[in-house]
Amino acid sequence: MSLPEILKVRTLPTIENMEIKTEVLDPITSSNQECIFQIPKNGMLDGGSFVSLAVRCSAAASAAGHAFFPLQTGIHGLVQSAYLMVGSKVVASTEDYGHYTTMIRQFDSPEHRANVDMVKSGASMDRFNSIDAATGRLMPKDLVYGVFAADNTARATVPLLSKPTDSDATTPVFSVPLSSLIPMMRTRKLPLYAMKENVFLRLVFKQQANVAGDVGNICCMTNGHGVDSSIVPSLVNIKFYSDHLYFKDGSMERLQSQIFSEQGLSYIYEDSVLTNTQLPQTANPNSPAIQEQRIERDIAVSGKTVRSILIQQKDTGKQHPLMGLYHSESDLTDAEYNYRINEQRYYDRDIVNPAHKYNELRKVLGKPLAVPSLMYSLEPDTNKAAADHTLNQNSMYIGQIEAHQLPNGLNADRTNDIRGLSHYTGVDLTTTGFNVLGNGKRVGVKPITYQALYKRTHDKRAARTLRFFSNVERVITIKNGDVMVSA
Amino acid sequence: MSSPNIVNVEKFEILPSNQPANNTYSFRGGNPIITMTIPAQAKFLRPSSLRINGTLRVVKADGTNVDNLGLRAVAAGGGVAHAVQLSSRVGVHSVFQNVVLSSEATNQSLEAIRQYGRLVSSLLSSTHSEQDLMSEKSVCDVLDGVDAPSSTLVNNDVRFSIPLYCGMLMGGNPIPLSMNGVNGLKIQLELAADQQVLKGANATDGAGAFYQLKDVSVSGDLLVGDDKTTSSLSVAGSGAFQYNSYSSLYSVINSSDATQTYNLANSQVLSVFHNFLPVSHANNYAQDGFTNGELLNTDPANPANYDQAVKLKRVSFSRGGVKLGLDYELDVEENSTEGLPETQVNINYLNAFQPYSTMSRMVNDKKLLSYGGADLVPYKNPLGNGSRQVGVDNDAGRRNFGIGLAMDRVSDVGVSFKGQSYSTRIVSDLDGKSPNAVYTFVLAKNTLQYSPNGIMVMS
Repeated sequence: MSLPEILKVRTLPTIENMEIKTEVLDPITSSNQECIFQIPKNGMLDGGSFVSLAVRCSAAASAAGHAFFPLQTGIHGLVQSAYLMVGSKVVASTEDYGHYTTMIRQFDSPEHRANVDMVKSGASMDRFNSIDAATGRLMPKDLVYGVFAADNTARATVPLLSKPTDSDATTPVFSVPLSSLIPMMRTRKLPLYAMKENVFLRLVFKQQANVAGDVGNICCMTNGHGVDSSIVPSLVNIKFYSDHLYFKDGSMERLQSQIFSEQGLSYIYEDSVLTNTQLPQTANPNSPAIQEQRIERDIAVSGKTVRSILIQQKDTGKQHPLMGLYHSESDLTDAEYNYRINEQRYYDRDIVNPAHKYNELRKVLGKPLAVPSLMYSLEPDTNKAAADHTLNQNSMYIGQIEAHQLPNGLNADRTNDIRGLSHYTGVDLTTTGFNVLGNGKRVGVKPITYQALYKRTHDKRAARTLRFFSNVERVITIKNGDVMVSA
Repeated sequence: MSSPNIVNVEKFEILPSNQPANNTYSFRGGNPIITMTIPAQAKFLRPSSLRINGTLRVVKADGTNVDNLGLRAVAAGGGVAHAVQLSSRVGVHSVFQNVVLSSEATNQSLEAIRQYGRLVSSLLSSTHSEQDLMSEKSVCDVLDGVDAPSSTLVNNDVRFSIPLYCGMLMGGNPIPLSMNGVNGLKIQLELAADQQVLKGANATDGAGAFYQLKDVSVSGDLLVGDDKTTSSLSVAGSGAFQYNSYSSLYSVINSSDATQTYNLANSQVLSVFHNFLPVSHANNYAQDGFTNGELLNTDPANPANYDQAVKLKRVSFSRGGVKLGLDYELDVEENSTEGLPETQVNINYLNAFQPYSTMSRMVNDKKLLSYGGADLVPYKNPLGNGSRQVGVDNDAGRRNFGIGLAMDRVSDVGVSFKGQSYSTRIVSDLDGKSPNAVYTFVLAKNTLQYSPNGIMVMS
């Protein structure tokens, strides 16, 4: 199943003449709920193609700059799910795209996120530094400080350039690469010219009506805003910039011959499978006691070839005033976890140490999750001598962001706490340890089981939702222009 | 050894073989050596996956946790702040004085690094950006790159999971653990003195602050080969494989025109670098023993105080008395006089870690240099009204300075120093009354030969 060079996303081994044509496509169907693009069947579809996305807020919110995108998510929160379809077949998809991309983008370097991705996605809190030498607290670097102070009088806001307005003409327009929407396109191109059926990109949008419970679905709001908080897609700005590659050296013709041959063309690609599960609420322990909660959850990947699993978890339905829906929350205590794969425990010992968890997560993408220790877990601020690891210091910024007051030095009110909100875990399941397609772990009929022990603490016992994003290998076969995909 | 065909990855986590009864390693407590063994088996170790895990506890003389910058005191409604810190550029790596890798079955030494923290000090600063230190390294290595936030990382017991920056483990090739390989891998970590690791105004209070390590383990990935690969590992045979290793040397520089000669005794030296520290700053609670500053003279009015930056004039390298690598002297006198980065010297120093042309992540950014002051904390008013980003608050000065040379960036074979000496000549205005320690680290290629009779390392 060797893959022709022109389908790989990498530098060609030899210098070839290539032509790139970009077509700007309007959706064939467009509404506040979804839009569908029909991609012309020309050339090779490149993952560098992108969708321009924008939203509008209410006039009152616009006038006062009250609406802002979730700080580490940006415009990605608009997309609920993305599907790449050939005819009626879904070739690849990403469910809960906002959650997935909030996590994935944090593996890019903070400099890249701040200097490149901030402009493209509208996210705005990716770098940190010391606020001063006297307190050493970490402060977000890429916000605008109307009042700068080391104490709780500091006032930070999201840069205006990233805030939506009520006008299609003035609201910022962001660009989201196809390779981000559809992970398959990170490593593969699609030979559109040799396909019989039409190819579609379908985006389903998240909804945010003017109700308190919806705030944070797409945009967050300034504290005490008192205005209409509804957000709608700016449909006139939503377009697909489709890059089509044409090779002049005969390789496209050779590929076409292969596709129309007896065997056709088959190759492996990556796709994402989402498994949602919930943990029930527990009894509320009194500090410093803890309430243990041991769980086992099946991850729906039986029969599949799995490359990795990434886990996002937070209290069910929780909307953070600054991060919106899109975060993964760390407990004060250590959750222990392990996996059973093909009836074997994966780790000798359960993983407990947060730094160890971080290193296991790093292997999934071959690069570290680039967030400070305080964003990954609350490790530096918790008292390990207490069973419930009580917070006994606050080494994060204690001012306001968009008028939301962060916890003070006493950790009095953690409603707006941004610490521990990038607590993702994951496991690399490649059989060689190398991040290339074709070496995923084959899972038998029994699904992978996630085994965990949570130690719930006082007032942190709510029902919790876990999202398992499994990166699986699938096979696409293109024969005589017809496309078939494995499960 | 041909490239193995890997079919599976197994995880391992192994506890030390000399676990103390109280599960606590401590220089102060008399348990300064940690020994961990990955047994011989017909598998490969994925070197980049190896991590030393544990919990670091930094305590005052009375055994209670420190409270740097008084953050815990604030949370408790008031109290007394303490200042007992780790190096903000080395973090928990600083607790390891010496790191020795050896074959478990034969005790043959494979790599031995002394002054390991000094190696890490240069290595991390030359390969990581300010934000890398602030993010990735803060989670795993207990450092933030800047003094103030780094100090608050250790106010509570804090867990770590760190790689070992040994040449052998930084290579990409799997390490065979069987008799046809290293025959099991023993890792011996010797802890550094508390006075070297810790610094701060309150470090000397009482009997002095100290640190402890708990719950120490080594974890990583084992690569399982296919049947053919596994059987080739299981049946005693003969063969060889190459690996890199760091070694270290120590010397002192004190004169304005100092030629120092080293016997590297290795036939395939890839790079050499040197970093400097005033001799009185080592093993001293009052000083950070892991800074990579420039050479310093003492204050004529206060001879115990190294606070006069030395003007660096020229640097050259030679092998057997003949210029090495560069056929000219690195003349940086003007830069040094003007308080600018000594560009030629810096470039060659950085090139000793990775090809300079590919380098993009380091903390040599000018705003992080301590010329005329100290580190700047940039973005005091980020994006504010289009105004310049200004640094107002300063962190203690922290440069990434050293001299170094990559011997062979073309063929990666290295240069032989068997029977040939390696020398550096440093011309500066060192005043002859200010001894500065020179920590030298040598990256070299080695060949491990195995046979049914055992293993042999050829340097």
